[in-house]
Amino acid sequence: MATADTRKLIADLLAGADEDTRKVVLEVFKIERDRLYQVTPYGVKDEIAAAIKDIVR
Amino acid sequence: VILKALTVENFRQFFGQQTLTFSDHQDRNVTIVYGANGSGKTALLNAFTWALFKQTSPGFERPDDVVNHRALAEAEEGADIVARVVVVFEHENQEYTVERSAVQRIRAEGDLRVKEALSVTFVDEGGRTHNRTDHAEGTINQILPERLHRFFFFDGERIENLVKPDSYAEIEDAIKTILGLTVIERAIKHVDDARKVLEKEYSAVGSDEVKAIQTRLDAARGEKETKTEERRRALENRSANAAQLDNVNARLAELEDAADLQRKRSDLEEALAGIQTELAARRRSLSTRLSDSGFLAFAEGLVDHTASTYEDLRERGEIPTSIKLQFVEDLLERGACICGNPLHEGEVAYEKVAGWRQRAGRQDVEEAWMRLSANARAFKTRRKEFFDYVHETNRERAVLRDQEATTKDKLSAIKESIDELDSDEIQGLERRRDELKSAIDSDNLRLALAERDILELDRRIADLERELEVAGAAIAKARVAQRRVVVARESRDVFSSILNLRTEEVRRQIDSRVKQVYTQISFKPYVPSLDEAFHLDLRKTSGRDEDLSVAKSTGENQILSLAFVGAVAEHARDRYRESQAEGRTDGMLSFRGGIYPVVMDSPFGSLDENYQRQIADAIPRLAPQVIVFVSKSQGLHAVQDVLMPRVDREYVIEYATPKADQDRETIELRTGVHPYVEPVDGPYEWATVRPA
Repeated sequence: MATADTRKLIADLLAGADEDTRKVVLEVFKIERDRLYQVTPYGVKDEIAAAIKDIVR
Repeated sequence: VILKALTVENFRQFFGQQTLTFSDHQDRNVTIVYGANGSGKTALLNAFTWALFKQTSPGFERPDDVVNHRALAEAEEGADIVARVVVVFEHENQEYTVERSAVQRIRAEGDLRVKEALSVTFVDEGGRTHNRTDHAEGTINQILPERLHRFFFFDGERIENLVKPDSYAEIEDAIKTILGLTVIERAIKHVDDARKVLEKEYSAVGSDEVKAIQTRLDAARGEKETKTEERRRALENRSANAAQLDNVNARLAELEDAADLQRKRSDLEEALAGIQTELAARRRSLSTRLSDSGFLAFAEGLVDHTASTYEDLRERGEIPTSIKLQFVEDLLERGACICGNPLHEGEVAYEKVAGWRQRAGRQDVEEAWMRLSANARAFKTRRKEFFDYVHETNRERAVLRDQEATTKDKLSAIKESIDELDSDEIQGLERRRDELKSAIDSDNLRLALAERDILELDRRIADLERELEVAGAAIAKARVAQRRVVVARESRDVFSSILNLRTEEVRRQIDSRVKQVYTQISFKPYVPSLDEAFHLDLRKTSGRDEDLSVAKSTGENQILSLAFVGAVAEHARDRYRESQAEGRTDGMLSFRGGIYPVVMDSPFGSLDENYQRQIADAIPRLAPQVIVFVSKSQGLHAVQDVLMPRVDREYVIEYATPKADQDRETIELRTGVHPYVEPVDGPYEWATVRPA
């Protein structure tokens, strides 16, 4: 678990980003976590590009 | 992860099939395997890494040569010999079985590796077996990350390499893996790749086209202004000239000699204007009618053909049909004919009625035919009306043209008469009159040209405005595309910052744990540290502010490395327990961690006795489960004196060697005396593992 300091720094970092960026960061994290154990995760960049397009319209 | 069992079959020195089971006792968490140098201790360590990751340690020579030589030698030509390793482990109450095998075929011209296979199955709490072979590597990696295997399956004599400069990158990598930072590293890379994709899309919807349309639109609007001005000037000139002409005409009408002729001329000119207006009106009307109904002129054949086809159908009785398809369908569905006879599918009556389906007409088709036929008749009437109109209008135009010619002749005659009048004023007025009429004609021409151009420009401007509207949507698209690129870039930067924050935090935590673990193992007044560049170093406090790096012996390096392994494992365990306790994953802030066993070969190497004792003391604390391979010449005393209270299971590798001058050797353990090295006849060595 992150310490309280790091948690606060990351929370501040996300709060400082604009809403679209924040949404993209959380979505990308989800995608990456789901596919972390694929040795060669093909097509992640396209999946992320699609997620960004979905968020920024 | 708790290792339950390891089975080796014809793998390296191990001939036939042999199984070891491991202690998972909380207090006696150590399993020891004794074996002479070269007997197969390193092969057993590598059996784990080969099965799980297809990896072998640097001390494992000829890594592709895994099939036991005796098994190969004793097989007949054409036979397939399988080397197999099966690792059974438990993870989150599920028992996993990982099996890797390599098949070698015996051939006269040289043995051939024919197949390698990996399978993963697990049995859940309910006793159901699940096959994960399709995702074997991913499944293993999810439980035991490959990037970490060097930290949990290692050659004790080489563990000191962990603290050498070559390993800094590996240490950083391992820390990132074990603490879940890999996911953020991948996110940085993949978001940046996605940014490139989005940048390409942005450049494809650029705005050059919009600018070009705007330029053309501005030019067309400017041209229209010029033409409008030309039209205004032509109109002004024309009305000024017309006013002057009125004056000249009025003056001529006042002069006695010309008055009569001039009045007649004015009347004729008025009549001519009327005729010309009429002619123009008929020309316009004809042109409108031709564009609306001109097609009728060419429709004669089509109309007749449609009408005659319809008549044929009608005469043959096909339109309207006596029986409608719907009527037949209704009878069949009702199951009774109008005569009362039942209609059952498969019977003659049913088939007869059903046969009417082919002949029955469809209501909608018939109606369409009737509408078409009625329209065809109307076409014929309209076609006649059209030709009547054209003929009549042309006749009227011919009459008007005759009237126009007659009137013009009369006007010419009047002009001739006026020209013959002997009056300077009249002649002067007449010349002026001619000039003005010619000026008015040219004003009219300029006016007509300007109006034609304005009309054309209006059309062009409307087209360009439409184009701009479409391109305007492209501008909005381009703005969105650009914004996506910016968001991708910012997201990547956010991930980079998160990675830096988390890496630094984890480094600090590991640093503090290494210090703690090292102090428990070593009696030296040294302090290890993991610095910002992931250099693992040992320092002693000099009494001044600055710590001094100490020159480390092999023993110190080994202790430092073990402290590091212990610190990383402990950290991963704590993270795992925390995540289990919380029962949730906390987004970017947490990693599930894991509980990993430690398997080490020759942890004591050729160290001095005091180091051996310190390491023996530290080993059980490295991980909840420890498997150690030792030889009787390396640290047997340390094992028996220090480690034994924590040992639950012991195995001895009995090594059969064909070496001629080799004496038989035994090993004396608390359980008795066991065979250790056996000289044998024949060309091959082999090994057998037996519980001690």
